[in-house]
Amino acid sequence: MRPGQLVEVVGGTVVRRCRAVASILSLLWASFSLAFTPRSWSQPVRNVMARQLLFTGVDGTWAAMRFGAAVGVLLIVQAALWVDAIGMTTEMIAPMLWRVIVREVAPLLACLVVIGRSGIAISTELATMRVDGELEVLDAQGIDPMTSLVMPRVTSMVFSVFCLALITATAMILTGYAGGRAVGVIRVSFVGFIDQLVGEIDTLDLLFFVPKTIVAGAFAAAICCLDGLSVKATITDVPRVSARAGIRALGAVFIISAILSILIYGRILIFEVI
Amino acid sequence: MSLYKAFDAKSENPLVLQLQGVTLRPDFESGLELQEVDLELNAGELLTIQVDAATRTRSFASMIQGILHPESGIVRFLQQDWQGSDYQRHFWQRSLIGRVFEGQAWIENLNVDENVTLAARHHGVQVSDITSSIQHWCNQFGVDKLATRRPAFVAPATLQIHQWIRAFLGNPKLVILETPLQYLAKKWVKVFLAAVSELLNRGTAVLWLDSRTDLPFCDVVGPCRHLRVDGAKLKTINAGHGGDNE
Repeated sequence: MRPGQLVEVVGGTVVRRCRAVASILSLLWASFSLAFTPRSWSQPVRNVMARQLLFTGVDGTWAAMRFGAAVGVLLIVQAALWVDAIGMTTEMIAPMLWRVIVREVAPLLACLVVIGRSGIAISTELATMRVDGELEVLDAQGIDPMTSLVMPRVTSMVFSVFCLALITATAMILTGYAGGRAVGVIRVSFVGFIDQLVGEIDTLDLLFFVPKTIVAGAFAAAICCLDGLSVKATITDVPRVSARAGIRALGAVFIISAILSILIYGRILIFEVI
Repeated sequence: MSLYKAFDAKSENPLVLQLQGVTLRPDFESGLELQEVDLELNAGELLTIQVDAATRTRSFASMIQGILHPESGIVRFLQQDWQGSDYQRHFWQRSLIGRVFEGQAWIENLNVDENVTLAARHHGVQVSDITSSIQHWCNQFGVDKLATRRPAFVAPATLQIHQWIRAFLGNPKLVILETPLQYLAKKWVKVFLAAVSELLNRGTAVLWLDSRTDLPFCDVVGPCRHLRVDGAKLKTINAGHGGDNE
């Protein structure tokens, strides 16, 4: 490959990526602008929002709890191994659990649940509506698809990720404690354990948890909506677009989590970020 | 809305729809193609455009609503074009247009009654006004009540009548009818033409796109003009009312 071609390929890729990010940010800006405009919330839009919240948030609760409970057990098993291997004290278990759960795992798990249950479904639904001409039907009746379809889905996904992350974290802590007690890694009472956790609460944790869930949820929602709406005029494109949306949303969630970790905690491993 | 008031304050038969030098090239082969077409439609007037049976009119109707843009020329509805990025105005203008769609006409994950009232509820029309308007048109078309199932489970003929009701709800300034009598038996022609007459009497402009040649438009009470598409041009069928696209 000639140097000119290499520059062209790299440049083209960079431009495409920048365009994709710009599209996501535009969609998010439009969605949140509409969400904060009272007249956007007509009765049908409120209905869509309620249905989406029910499907994404409420119906996802059990899945989030199951995942949280399973991962809580995994974490405590790992903690037990470390206790044996490097002589960690049991007092170190609670802060470790807290940090890993609140800062990293709970928001990620919540995003996984929401993308798996709703993100791909949203992408499929929007793609099918576009192919079938339903978006045109809405448009022709003076109903902005952005207001009536995209905005309620984006806002409900963001809200759901935040709530499900809280639920996941709670499930992980509870099963972590139960598992720890069962294998003898944790020997304090439940109240004492919670006291230790509360003592570990740092402003940075809240500063991390809230934006991480909101930003990651917003990007996942925007990607699923954009991909769904980008489908061309054939129904056979829909499964491909939906699968792509799921993978891209997951990728975005991991990248955003990493970027936020670096920005908020200012460290990559032992190296402090300037 | 000022646009709405300005329209109401106009003369007796204000211009509702105007096409100036419009050229439309549809994306797909069977779409309606137009070449530098001029057209005017006033309030309370019926304009029929006869097309070939194989021709799809959806792109043309969407162009009139500003959803698709013509290759060249200007489309004006209530003396406002569809250019620019004032999307709020565009959506508001579209809310004043009723339409019976050719092809897909429903949001599949809503029930038919929700579909029928969707636009009115979205645009903040009072529930009592929606209910009375639905009642009026249901009586007119002999429908007991709106279907409460998903569109996929309702017969095409029933869906078509519900499309009429949806298009006529409220007080549209323009109604676009794309093959409005498809799926329906002959007995419905008279009923539908009576409803169109009522619309014209209220001052609604009606644009009727159809391939049928056997429709008794003489039964319509109100000013009518009849055009046909011939080689991407519009030509007058009924010379008595004067077409402007010969």
